[in-house]
Amino acid sequence: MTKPRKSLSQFQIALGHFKENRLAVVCFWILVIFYLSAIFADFLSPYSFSNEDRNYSYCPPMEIKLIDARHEKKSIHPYVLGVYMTFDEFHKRVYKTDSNQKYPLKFFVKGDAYKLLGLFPADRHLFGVDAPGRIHLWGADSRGRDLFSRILFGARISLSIGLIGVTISFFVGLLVGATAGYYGGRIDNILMRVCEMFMMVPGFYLMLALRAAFPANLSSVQIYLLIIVIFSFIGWASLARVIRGMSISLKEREYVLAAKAMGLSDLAIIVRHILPHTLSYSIVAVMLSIPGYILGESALSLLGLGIQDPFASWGNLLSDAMNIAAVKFAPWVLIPGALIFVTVMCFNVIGDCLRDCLDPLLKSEVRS
Amino acid sequence: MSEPLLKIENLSISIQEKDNDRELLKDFNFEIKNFETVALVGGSGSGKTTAGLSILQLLSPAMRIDSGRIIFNGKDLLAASLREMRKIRGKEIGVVFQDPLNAFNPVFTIGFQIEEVLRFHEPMPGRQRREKVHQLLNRVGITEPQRIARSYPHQLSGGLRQRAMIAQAIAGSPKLIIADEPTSSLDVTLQAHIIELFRDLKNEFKTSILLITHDLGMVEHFCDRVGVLYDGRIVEEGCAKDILSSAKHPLTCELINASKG
Repeated sequence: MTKPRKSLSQFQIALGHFKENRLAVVCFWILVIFYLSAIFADFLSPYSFSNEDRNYSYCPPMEIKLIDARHEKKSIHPYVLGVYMTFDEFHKRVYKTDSNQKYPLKFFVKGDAYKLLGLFPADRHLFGVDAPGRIHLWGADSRGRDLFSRILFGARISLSIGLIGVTISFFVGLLVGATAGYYGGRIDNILMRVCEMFMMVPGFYLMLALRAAFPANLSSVQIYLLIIVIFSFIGWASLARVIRGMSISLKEREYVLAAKAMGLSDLAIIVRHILPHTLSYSIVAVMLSIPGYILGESALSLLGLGIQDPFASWGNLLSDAMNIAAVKFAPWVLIPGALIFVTVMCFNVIGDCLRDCLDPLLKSEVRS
Repeated sequence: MSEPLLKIENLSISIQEKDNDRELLKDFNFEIKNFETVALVGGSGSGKTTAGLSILQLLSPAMRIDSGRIIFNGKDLLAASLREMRKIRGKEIGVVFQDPLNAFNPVFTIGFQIEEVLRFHEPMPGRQRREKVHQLLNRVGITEPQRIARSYPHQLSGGLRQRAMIAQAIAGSPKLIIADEPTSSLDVTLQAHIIELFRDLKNEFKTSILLITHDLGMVEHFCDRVGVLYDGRIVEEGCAKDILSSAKHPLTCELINASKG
């Protein structure tokens, strides 16, 4: 007996098409992993973002060894070897491993205190080693802070700025665009000219100018919020223009007339009868604009105008890599750059795939 | 009660075109009494729909009202503010549009869109509102109101959609229903059902109905009075049966002959 075929909703059709695109699914899960590790950064990282040990300046990534070769009895407990710093004949700092010093890798160890999800005080970390040993999976920076931990904490800022910034500019863009398109006439004219003013100035310079307009000695939280506001300020204009065009055509539909005949207010008509029809476009536009926010934050922080030390973001972690000597002798400082690259690519691939999936002309044809 | 429910006096509406303005309605006079069914007939482009929409002040921005008054229930609608108009639309005047597929928003369910009228005009708890929607759908002859309320417009047949449209129009228990060619997108048997439904509703809710149509057969069976519109002017007006049996104006005769085929 065959099951009766259920009819598919538009969402299910789109989901089906999305799943067919392997690359997009992989990108989706990569982003899920990134965002989850950003949320649980406190727990996943062995140290807090400001935990430093000057003896480990530019310490290279450590290898986790599983098998102790010197013992007859093979142990499978992972460990790292202790490192010590010496200078070679060119007076260059080198780290040597000391095979006598074994620090077994421990799970759920006590470490720096933190609040899980900002609520529950805790001090357990997923992994770590006993003092005086230190574990640096991805090396350490100039002040001997663990790069892996700092990248996890930096992800919080870099990844959230994209989402929050895009949410704000999305709402402003939708509202301004729909208002301009729906009312038309003078309101449309004024709003669109304002839009053009924002689009006219090259984004990055506008961003620098806005940043310069605020005092330099702000706290990191203030800078974080400021960056979000600046980005939303720049980002809404292009979305608003397209939404305006769509609402001009949508407002001529008969159901809008019907809604007016029912006595609905303008706001209700805009929100319920015009904006939902622009959603498939705006979801794609939003997805494709998130990378711009992430790159923008990185660029600001790279130039030292964004998040300040000791707080970490992927951009200000990369500012270490502006020093050619650091890149030469400690190439692991480039890891944040690679992560930015991966994140941006993932958003672009997903956005591209969503554009295909949400196309209403796409029928649920059976692929052979 | 001698005062008519709706009185349109000397209404002139023109549309702006490149060089000169074109008049859509010229010195249009019309009345609808309480509990009366009136038809506006005329060929395409004669200004029927414009007249209907002008009552609700829903003309497109390019159209301009040059002169005249529209008195509804003792209130001049042309002088009313937007806020006052909103209270009248849907609550005191309901509209049934020509094509229910276009008149429903495709992204919401039928139930939600009928609820919308109630939400604006009669504040009541959500559960009660949904109950009322089911009652309304039942009232217009839909046997499975729960299922229909959950459906999207494209999932229903044309007849069901038109019934749902009527349910939406009567949701605010209006004094006047404007039906703009309510049957032109339906087949003949359904047309008869819909007309029957209108007749029942009229008696039950004590409303007046303004029927905008070109179907003279429907007018003969259903309407008390009829106004014949040609090029923005009422050319003939009177009791429906008289006009259809002994038309005086040549254009009326032309319409009658055309409908007989």
